Amino acid sequence: MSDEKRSASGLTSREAKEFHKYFMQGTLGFVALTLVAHILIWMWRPWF
Amino acid sequence: MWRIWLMVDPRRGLVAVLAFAFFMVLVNHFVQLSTPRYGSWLSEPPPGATAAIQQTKDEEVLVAGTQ
Repeated sequence: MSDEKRSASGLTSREAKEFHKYFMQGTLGFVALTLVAHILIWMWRPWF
Repeated sequence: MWRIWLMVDPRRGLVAVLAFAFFMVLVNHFVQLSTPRYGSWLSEPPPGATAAIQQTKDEEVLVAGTQ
């Protein structure tokens, strides 16, 4: 068994950090896309 | 933040996040479709059609919004 402590999810800290990096990239991509959509909608019909 | 993946299995976590996001996006689009201001994007000509139609349409929507 590896000497590192086993986590509940089975990932090592290194793997968790790596996954988190890609997870955050995807999340920021989603936020960027949504921001563009909202800017376009605002130009069409502002909601305030 | 990354420590969450020591507790939550990324496969299940990812599926949960995507399902939740899809549900929220679905609900929000239908909510917007039900409003007078934004409920017409499927049934009216696109914004770039002609300025005149867009102008009258905007006024109609504003009036509809106040009723």
